[in-house]
Amino acid sequence: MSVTVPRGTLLVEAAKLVKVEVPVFCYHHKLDPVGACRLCLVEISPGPPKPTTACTTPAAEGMVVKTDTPLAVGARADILEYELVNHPLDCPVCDKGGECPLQDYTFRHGYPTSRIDAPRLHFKKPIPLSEKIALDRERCVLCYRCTRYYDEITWSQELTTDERGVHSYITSQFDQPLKSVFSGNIIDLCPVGALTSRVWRFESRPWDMDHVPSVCSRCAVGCNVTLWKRRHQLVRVTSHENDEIDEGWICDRGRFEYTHVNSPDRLKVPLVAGAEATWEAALTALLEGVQGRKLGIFLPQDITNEELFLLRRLVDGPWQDARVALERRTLLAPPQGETLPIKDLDGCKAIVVIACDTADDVPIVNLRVKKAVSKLGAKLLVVHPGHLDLDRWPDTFHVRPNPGETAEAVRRLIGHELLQEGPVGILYGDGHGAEDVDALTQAVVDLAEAVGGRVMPLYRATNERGALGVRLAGRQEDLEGCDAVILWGPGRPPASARFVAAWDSVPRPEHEGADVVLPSATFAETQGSYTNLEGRVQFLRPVLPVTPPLREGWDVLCELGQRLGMPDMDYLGIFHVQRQASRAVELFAPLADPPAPVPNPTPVLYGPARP
Amino acid sequence: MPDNVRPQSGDSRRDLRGSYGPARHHLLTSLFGIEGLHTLSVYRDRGGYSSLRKAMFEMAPEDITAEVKASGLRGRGGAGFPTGTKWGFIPKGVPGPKYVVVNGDEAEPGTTKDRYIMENSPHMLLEGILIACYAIGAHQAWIYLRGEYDGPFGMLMAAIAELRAEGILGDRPLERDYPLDIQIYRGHGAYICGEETALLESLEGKRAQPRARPPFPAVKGAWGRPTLINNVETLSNVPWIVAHGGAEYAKFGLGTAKGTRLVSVSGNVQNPGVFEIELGTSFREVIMEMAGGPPPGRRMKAFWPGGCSAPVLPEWGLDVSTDLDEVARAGSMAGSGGVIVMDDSHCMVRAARRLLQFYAHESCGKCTPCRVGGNWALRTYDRVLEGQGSEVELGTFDAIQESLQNGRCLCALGDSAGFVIASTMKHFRSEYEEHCLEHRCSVEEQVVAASA
Amino acid sequence: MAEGQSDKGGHNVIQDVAALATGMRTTLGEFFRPVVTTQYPEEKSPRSERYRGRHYLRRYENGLERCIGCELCAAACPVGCILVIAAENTEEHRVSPGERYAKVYEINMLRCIFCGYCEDACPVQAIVLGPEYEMADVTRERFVFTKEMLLEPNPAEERPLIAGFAAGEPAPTVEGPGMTDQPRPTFDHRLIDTADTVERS
Repeated sequence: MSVTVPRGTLLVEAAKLVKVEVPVFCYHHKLDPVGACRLCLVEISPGPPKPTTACTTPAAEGMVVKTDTPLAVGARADILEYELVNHPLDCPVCDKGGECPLQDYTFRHGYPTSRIDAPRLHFKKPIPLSEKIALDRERCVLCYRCTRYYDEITWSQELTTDERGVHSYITSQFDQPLKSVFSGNIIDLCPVGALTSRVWRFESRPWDMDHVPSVCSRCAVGCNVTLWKRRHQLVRVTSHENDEIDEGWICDRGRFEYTHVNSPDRLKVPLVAGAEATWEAALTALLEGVQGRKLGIFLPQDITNEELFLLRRLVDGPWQDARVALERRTLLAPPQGETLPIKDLDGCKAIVVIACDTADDVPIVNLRVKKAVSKLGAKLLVVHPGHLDLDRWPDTFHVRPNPGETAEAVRRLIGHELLQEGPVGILYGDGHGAEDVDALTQAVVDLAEAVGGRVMPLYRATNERGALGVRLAGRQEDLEGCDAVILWGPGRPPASARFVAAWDSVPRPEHEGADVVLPSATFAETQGSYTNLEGRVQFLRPVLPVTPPLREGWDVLCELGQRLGMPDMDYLGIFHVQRQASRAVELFAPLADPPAPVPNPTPVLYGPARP
Repeated sequence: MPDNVRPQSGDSRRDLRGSYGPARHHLLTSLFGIEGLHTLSVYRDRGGYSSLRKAMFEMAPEDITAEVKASGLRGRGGAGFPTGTKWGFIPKGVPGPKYVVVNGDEAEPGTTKDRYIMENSPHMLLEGILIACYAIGAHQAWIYLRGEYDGPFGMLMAAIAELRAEGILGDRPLERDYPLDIQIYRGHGAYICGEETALLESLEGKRAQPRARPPFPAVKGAWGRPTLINNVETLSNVPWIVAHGGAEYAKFGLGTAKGTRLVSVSGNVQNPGVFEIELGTSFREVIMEMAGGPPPGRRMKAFWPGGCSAPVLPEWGLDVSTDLDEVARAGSMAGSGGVIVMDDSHCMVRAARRLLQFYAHESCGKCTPCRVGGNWALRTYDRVLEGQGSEVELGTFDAIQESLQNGRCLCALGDSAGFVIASTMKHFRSEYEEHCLEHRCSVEEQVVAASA
Repeated sequence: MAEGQSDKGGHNVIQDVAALATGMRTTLGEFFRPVVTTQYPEEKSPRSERYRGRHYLRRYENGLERCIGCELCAAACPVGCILVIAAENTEEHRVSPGERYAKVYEINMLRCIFCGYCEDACPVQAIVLGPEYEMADVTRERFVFTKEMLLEPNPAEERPLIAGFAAGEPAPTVEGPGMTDQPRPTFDHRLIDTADTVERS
């Protein structure tokens, strides 16, 4: 088989194109190659008559790569045998068992029988690396993916190797627990069961789960995730690589904050005055409660586009005077003109980050900035009063204005020597309320015009961009003075409220004493879509069924509209809502074209080894 | 005795550390033993730093590289790569700094030549470094010194202080506008730091583990900059080459390996020490004449011709010459020039186990075969030596040695561990079979019988 | 009709009596043979050592459960009648050796086909199929056997034995081709076998 690849493509990547499996442990397509595990040995000609690592050798014109010569096959089998010399072989209790490359490669490339008769080396295990991650040093094959990830991708060096030789082991720096918000990715990276999730620990076996690709609901970046369910429970969230957004990384909030979906406290039936009621009675009580009162509506950050569209119709119609607040929203206005897509950060020659702690607000954008800087050579300028993790790059140019003076500091950057070469990406937040946002935005726009750059407003709330698109993004303070509130999500009732309706998936202390409580579906159950901070509409795929009496938000909003006497509120289904929303709101145009349903997933047990 | 052999006795040589055997040609060691040679004044009186002056004022950088190329000098650290070619790999005209790094991490068991040079004539090394800096266009040199070398460290520090005081190091060395500086970095006791890329990692303050090549250090070395890495002995040859010309140097030696080299002979010999020999001298002359051969009543059994990383040669290897290519043809390598001799009172299985313990202990842990294979082999040796061996163990040794060598590992440490098993099994298989199958050791029995 | 046939055949009385005698001989012969009917449920037939009946979950001699909750039995089960939910052992609450144990272990006996694949799949020989086959009951719910019902009694505790299974008392067996009276192979659980471990230096 012959294949033509771009210059510099490594042999492992070229082999993937012709569907030849070259097993790898240390190589990962998002990390720099190191050639440590030696598992990818192949024979190349022209070249010396000895095996060469495919993960460090770029393809060359006329190069012939042989993966199936006795020398190469034997060399790879030898390495696999070595990996198993001290491996504890506790696959039955290992959370990786079933989706473990070491298992799969041993079956496909290893020796059929074992020669290993010596006693094995043992370590104390498992070791908690943090609240979320457990480390098993006996299973570790020392591929250094985790330490390299921490060095190259997150710049935080929280993991390191101690001792040497066969006694080498992975450990956190100074035995401190991992603090990085990106720590969970090392679980996905680990090719064996050495790094496992403590949240998912022993929850289920991989072959026993169904999974669907979906979108993360925790912030405005819109990372793609895979949701895994077992027995009607959401048991695991892992990354789902989308090079245009997340490049296969997700933050710990997206990975671990899903347990409320399975909570035994989940609200299942509506409550009226603390007693269980039917939806009919609850909605009646709700409508009576808000009737004739000044209405305030608090929205969760992960409200879907469809729900926003329906709510817009309600607010345009019967609830004309209602005020609306959105959880976690920034003060930023909708962007004027074209913005910088996340994937174009890779092409930037200089990146300016203004008034935003990206690691906290938009974590994966933070990793994209780090990649553009450390791997692609972009210059980095930061305008922020505090210390950020971006300062770990030695060449970061950091301007620390006093809070409130960021706009002037941004204007002073015009003509800066690091901004001479374009394209320039300008990322800006709202300084968590410390800044005059209008002045800051104007300064950013001026800077972009002066240096020929493009801007990327960094919204915080998951669907803030969608809420801005239908002008429904107020602040919690806006609800002051309302005497009837509908708290959808974790909002506080204002002091003036005389009627409180709570609508959430779990009971919250803020909702104590609500007159009406409605159960809501979570991101794992509801159909719909989110608009991320760059304006990209992405569809959720429910992994769990909505079991009655639970109802989805759009469904409840439709019924409310019908009861309030609005015309055309009897939608036939969510597709009907989506089609109408796509015509009515420019931002929601992609809703007209929802993706085809995903095919049933191949069981992991028989599937290919995950890279 | 030929004319050019210097007499060993002489007043000025009384306080010499180490031994100093007869040799035909003394290029490196001609001045060694002179009182106060480690000071700048004495070294200058003997013609020191004239080569640097000549290089900086009379030669272009390319000329220096050409002379080194013409000399046929090959690296003395172990791999024997042609030095001039290596200098030629350093890219020219790239913006930004370049570095010269001197590999003074002499951790190879049985090798003490670099220490011998640094303790006798530190200025010879420093002069070579400065010439190399000038030749490749570097302004900064680093000496990566083995951590245990306290003596050489003190002497090099003193010598560098003298150079700074005299203005040979600094912003305007020898009144020329070409800043030069040398810094010393002391290792922390890891054998792997002698491997050039691991040395660079260690120099950068990271965990010492070899890097995958390419990119080679000449393109992307210390801190990602073009870097020239040479052994102490290699660079110490440079002043002589610059002073006398490469063609003169190439008159010494045989074949592709030119010049002289230092060999450190240790083990079961009567007169162990460091000797300068012309390349091409036979090992018989080195071991039997210069080093005095094995103790009386013993018979030489085996020797490691180039430090313990080279495959062992049995007694017939004495007739091999020290020429790099000929040693390679004999199935070994000239390596770092550390000759370790063992006589017939040593069991080769036990010796291999001891060497393997060293390699298992010094494995950095980066790549799998060396990390696991060394330890696995060591445990297998332990089982064999406890009398629990069988045919299975013989097969295990075969499998391990094969999967350690020949490109399976990132650096040469794994190969070296493989060489230990492979070469001792090749030449002394009967001893292995005795241990594994008969659970006895004839060598030990002989020694016990002789002492009884 | 029958009479007519008889007449047409022309049988005589002697032939009829002879036929009667033949029949009686068979009857009487059987009468004096040894009885093969088993007086179930008072008596029970012997079963093979390898008989696959009701499942048991075994314990180690120190009372710890063998089951590590790996769910391989559930994966091997062709009818999907096994449910395992695992949990983690702690020092305070140790159920099995190692890290993992089965918090929930249920077998739906109505669905089970007693194929024994679970026994084959088990890496620690925790689940075995025993000799018992009397599992009739009156409601479907009671056919879902829980872990408490499946576990063999804890030798460390004095607990009433589960009906039909006497610990230490071998099941009655019958000799025959392909059958063996060898005891079950003992299995050393590698996870608790610390004799061959090498401590890190």
